[in-house]
Amino acid sequence: MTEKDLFREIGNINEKYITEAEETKRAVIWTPAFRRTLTTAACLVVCFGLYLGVRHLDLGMQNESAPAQLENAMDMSQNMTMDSASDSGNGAGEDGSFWEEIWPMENATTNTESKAEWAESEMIQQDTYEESTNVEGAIPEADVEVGANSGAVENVENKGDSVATQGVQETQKDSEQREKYFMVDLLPYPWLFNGWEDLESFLELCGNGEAATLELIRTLEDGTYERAYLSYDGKASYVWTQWQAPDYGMSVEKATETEYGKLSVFEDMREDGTTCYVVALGEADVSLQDLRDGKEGTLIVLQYVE
Amino acid sequence: MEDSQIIELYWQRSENAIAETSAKYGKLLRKIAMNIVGNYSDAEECENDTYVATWNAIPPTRPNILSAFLGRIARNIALNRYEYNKAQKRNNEFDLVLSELEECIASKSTVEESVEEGMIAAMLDDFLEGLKKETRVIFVRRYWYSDSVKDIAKRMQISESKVKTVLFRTRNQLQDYLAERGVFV
Repeated sequence: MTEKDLFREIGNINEKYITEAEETKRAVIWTPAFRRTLTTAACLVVCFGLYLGVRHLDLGMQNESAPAQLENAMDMSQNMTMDSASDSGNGAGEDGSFWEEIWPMENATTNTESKAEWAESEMIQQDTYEESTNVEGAIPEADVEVGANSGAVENVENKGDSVATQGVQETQKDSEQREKYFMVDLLPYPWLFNGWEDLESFLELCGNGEAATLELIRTLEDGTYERAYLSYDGKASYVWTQWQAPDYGMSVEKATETEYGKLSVFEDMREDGTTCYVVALGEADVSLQDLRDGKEGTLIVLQYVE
Repeated sequence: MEDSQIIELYWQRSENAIAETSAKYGKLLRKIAMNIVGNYSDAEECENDTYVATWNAIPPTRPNILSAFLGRIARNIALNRYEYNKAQKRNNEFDLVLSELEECIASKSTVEESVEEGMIAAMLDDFLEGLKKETRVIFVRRYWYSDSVKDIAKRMQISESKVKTVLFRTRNQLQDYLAERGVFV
């Protein structure tokens, strides 16, 4: 049988599938940008509602765990909004300020350490992780390995117990009520996109040697939107394209375009037990030490927040 | 005009049958043919040949879904025209469709010759039934309608990379599905 024969056989499928394919057409309004807008708006409404609830709730009439639940839910929600809780846009890798800037809120409710102490402990944990991480486990040059039934990141060495964790707080895992975001941090403001499938598709296409593009967007402190593409040309080149937009998703001018030859993916576990992935772009292999040193423009962190 | 009325015109051997068919489905038939043959003049000829074939087929046939019936005829006519023109012209997009389907065929030399007619189509129906709706629509748009990846992405309001990934995975699933049932060894 040839491919033409198979093509003819496909022509004989049940008419209901043919009709279904003819009738299925999504309205133009449901563009990715529009979906992101709705999702963000819904998330903001939920956050505002939780905030009002906490303010007016009589905590004395609740059980002991409820305040922690609500506070953690607020903190998690605040972490997931596009308005970053970080104070400024500098300081990656300066005495733990990178970690402090990006993830202060979650840890504030899970331990009694001060921010400085927490940052220091985080640095120690990263040192421990550095020693145990096999850099060779990173994806080779211009190539992302894709497993048979999984995305590239699952082939990266999982450092397991080498980084101390405080365990997952059950109160933080109110996941059914929350949107799932993957936060891609290009220092210091997080990049957002919805759906693990977009990232997995991108990595799979890269692994297959096909051209692919990943779309990202984020909000800066002044409310300006920035948009970025991470593109792979199907051969040996990754391009990070970034530009500013005065209104949501409507690009104006291309601001920067940077080409890289290598993409590496690391898997890491944060203190609260959530998984994050680090995508490193550069001309040479980069390690997590480079991440701590804050090589701007070359490192993107993907954080799975649940 | 409703499909049942158009079919009745064929049964009555009314010349308006073809005019009504052209008015309602001409664009669809040209699109299907164009996706395969790649040029407008051949697509028009295929459309006209489709009307002739339909006139000869109805009666005795009384199709349940006229659009699918016409589309199937146009598709086969266009494929024949594509094969006829293959030496002189190339349609890069349709060549890509065929090359993608080639991945589903494990070994051309070991296909069971005794496969009953229509069995593979029945297997394909079962395969499609097991897919999610979005995946099934993407598959049918690509390999029945021969739409380009860009057109499918626009229709479904998803990214082209997602369309490619869905098609890639579905082809692999189809290959495994057919191999399990002994169609391709």
